[in-house]
Amino acid sequence: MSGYYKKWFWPLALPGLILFAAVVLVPFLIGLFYSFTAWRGTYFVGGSAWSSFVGLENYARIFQSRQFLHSLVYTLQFTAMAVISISVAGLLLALMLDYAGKRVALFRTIFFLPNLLGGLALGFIWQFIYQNVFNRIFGEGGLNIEFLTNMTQDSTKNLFALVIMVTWQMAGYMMIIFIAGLNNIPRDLYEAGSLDGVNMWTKFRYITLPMLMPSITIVLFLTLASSLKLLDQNVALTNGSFNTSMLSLQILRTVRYTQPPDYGQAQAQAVVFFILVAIIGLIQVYITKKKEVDA
Amino acid sequence: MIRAASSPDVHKRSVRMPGGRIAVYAVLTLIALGTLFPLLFLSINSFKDQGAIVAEPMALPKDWSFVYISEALSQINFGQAAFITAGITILSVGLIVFCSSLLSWMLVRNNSTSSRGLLLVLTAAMLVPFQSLMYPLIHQFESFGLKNLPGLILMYGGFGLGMSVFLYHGFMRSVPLALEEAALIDGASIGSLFFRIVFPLVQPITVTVIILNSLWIWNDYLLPFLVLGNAEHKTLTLELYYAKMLAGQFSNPWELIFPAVLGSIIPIVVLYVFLQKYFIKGVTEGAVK
Amino acid sequence: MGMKGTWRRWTAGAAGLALGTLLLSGCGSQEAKAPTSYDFYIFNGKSENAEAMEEVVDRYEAETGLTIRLFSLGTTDVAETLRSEMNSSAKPALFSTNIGGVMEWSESGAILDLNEASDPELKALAAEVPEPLRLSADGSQNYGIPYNIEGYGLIVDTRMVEELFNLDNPDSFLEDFKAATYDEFENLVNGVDAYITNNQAGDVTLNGETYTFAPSKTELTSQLTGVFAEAGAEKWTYGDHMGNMAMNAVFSSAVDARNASEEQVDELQAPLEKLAQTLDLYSLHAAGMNGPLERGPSYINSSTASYDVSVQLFSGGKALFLKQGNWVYPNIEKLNPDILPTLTFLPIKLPLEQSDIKIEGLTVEQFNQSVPQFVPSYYAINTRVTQREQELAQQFLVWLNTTEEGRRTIVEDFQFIPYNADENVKFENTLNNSLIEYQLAGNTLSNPFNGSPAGGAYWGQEVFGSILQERYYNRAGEWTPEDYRTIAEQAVQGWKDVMYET
Repeated sequence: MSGYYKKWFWPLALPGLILFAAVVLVPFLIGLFYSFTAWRGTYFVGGSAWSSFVGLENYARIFQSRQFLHSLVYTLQFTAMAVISISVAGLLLALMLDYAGKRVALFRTIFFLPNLLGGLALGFIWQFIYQNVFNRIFGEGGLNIEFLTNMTQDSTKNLFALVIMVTWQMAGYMMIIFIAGLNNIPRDLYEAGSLDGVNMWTKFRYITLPMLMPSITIVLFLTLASSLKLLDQNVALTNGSFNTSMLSLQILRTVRYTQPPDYGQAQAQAVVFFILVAIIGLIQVYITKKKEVDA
Repeated sequence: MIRAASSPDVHKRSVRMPGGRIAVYAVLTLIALGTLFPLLFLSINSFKDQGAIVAEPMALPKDWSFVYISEALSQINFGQAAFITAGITILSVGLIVFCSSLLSWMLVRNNSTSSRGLLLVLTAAMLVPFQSLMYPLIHQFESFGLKNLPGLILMYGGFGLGMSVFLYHGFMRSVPLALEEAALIDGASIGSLFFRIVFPLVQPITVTVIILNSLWIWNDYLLPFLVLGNAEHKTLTLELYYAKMLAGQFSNPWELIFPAVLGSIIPIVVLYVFLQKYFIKGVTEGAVK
Repeated sequence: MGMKGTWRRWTAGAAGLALGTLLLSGCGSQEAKAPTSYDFYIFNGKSENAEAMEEVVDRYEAETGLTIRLFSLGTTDVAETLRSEMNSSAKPALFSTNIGGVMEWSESGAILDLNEASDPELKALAAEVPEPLRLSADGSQNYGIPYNIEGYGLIVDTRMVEELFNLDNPDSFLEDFKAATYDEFENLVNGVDAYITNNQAGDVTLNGETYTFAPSKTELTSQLTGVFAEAGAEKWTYGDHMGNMAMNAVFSSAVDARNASEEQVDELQAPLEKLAQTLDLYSLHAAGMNGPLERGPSYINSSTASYDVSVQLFSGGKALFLKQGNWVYPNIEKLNPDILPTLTFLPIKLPLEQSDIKIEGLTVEQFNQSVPQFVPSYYAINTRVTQREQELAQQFLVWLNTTEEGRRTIVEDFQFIPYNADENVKFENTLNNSLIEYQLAGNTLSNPFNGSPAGGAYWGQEVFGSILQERYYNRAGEWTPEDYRTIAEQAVQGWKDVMYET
């Protein structure tokens, strides 16, 4: 039996493997190599990739670059806020729908709707909402909440503007994952709790939450990855003005901010970016998986 | 099964006060309105001129004129762009489903150290930021003469693979080997084995793979930007981007942007309204693995 | 039977998909190649003359029997598109570049030094390009033939001046303005502002001459809401173009700025402080739609302070000055063609002292009566195409710049100021004519901002522009000399941060 599948392994796996190698693996490895060279996009300083090898110079430069370091911190700040905000909002929506019982299909449909839209399209809408509608509602003569005005013209406020926007966009998706998780919790667990007369919070804390751990793992993974890599919304909302570039945008900009265009340095930034995403992603999966086992 | 046996309705009524439930409905309704607000806002402002948008963004349009929408749609070459975007999405997703289902099947059935290693590499690719390979990728495809629409489809095929293999692999592990063995004893070929036995069994996860990949490919902006750039044939998102850049590199022509955004999202929203069952199911399936 | 059937269908489907992809990619690569269908390829990176260039190329093709591929692209992402064309198998023989792009192409060796052009006529033409207008990496090469000259300053409608000061003829005012000191200019600004807001009709002195405001406002002057039409949302309007003013005190050209030493960058401190003082003056007297536009959030908001809005304010007579270049002419034409015949440039002035200026022979007086003029784009020859393509491209350049028809094309069809314009070159475009006057009088400054890190894209906008924009936003109140100093310090530091030893 296993011999039969072994015989077919290469013919059937090959299309996928070739595609994967050509699109992801090989370019990634080439990129890793280029990050150690003086690559300029259309040529290498000194003629060939080998002769333009500069060792760790690109890496040394990016850690002296204020723009890069700022975007690194900015990305981490945003990610921390966005992950919490999106997951909590998604969970609350799921709990509410679960509590409300039947006749919630319409709500579910509506909450998921923003996920269909691209970040660029969304960004344009929200840019106008922040610049005009928010200023009107929260500005002088309105509710007078200074913090909610001109949100896209200030680095700190823009963090919140981005978080509000991505929460609006992604909470519905996470809600669906949580609902699936909630549906998988056997009801008799709650019934046992009811008999003991424990209150709702205790039930949530000791039954719902531990049983939801698999869903939480997925939600955290998805929100972390998408927040760290966020680009379209960043482009559409501020396009990096007022020190609001996140890492994805910063890497794209590096080649514009240097002459001749320093693709080698941009590549080094991208490698650092990858390491960051990989470490955070693996730590998260490790911790939550461990919790799943504990629960 | 367990749930059905414990008759959830009785259970629910016994714990929940009607007042609490009404309150929850009220809150949900408010949130739903909040969720819909930007879209309603977008819709009403697609019927107004620049002056009216900026002066009274919240007001309903004085007359429901389709002038701005039709102008914006022609500006973003709506028909052509929607066709191209749909074509790219369908072909790419087809390629992803084809390659990743076969690959996953083979990985599941050949459970060796090396195939586990392969799976690890494929899933780890989900963590690779696009930026870390985009320049070499474009460079490499360019040298093969593939910096064009077909190249774009192949790239999506490669990028979609990681997540899709992850999903298929998780699901296919639950497909009993006995079914396949029985079919083989009946003399089935490898093709019918996969097509008649395995593929129908994993259909739920195929829906997931289709939905999740379609969503990001349809809306993607950076890859078409890098591959197609300002070419004649652009995707909807790219048209939208260029419409904004060209119409006002130094200004915001909202009377163009809003209807263009509306136009660019309508196809997928319409699709969603008709196929929402599959959308929700697909996302759910992906979550529970 | 069913099993076999599906298997066949399945393989057929798979084969079809594979074949389809292959075919598609095949078509694609054919499309990308196809280099044989033309004699040479022009990559025109300027959108302004895109249409006219097409007609010119058609005429040239008819005249010579050649087939030319032309691709025009303006504004967005020119650099990236050109890069990808230079990498492809169908490379342009003639391409446009500028001081920003030249480093890249000279380092890679793709750009031909016209001192070594194979066409003797082109070699001669290149040798005649005035030294300050030449395209080079370090000053020794001569890489391109200029497209045209652009320039900027304070655009003013002379009718507005006439009615403000009750003059029959604005000429003496304009001459006195040009010769005036910064202090006189500042007094003029304050005087106009007082006149607008309080109807206070006092005197102002320019170049020692006294000008008295008209006792009562006219229909035209009563529209004024401020002195300057500003575009606070657009960092390039002050980061690049005003930053360039300060840089002109230290660097005489873009190449100088590109090869700046750390000491020279430090020398920018004083001019930048003076510039900050000037921008303080401008931003305190900015015009808005219904009254003055004050510093703060709306000063940098794209709905109240965009490029379009600033042009609209000026065209609608709400501001006396618009700091912009001759490229703004078509925009004004759309909004208010009536004022086109009476538009002219006045020089931007800075409160410099002689010790701030590091360029030999340049006096404060000279500085304050000059306007910056520069070449935005050059035609360059690609060494990576066949010898024949290179020669044909060179012949086209010679034809465009030396024949009567070619030169007429530049002026009439492109509406470009030729880099070698003489007094016979006249336009309907009054702003172009004004620039030519400055050019002929020798009252011009240069474009060192194109030599700042990443040619303005970085230092001009992301560093200096951002520093200023933040101040405009946060510091609605008075700016102090301390503010001027920190603005300049941060800008200098931002430059030094990206100076790597190479």
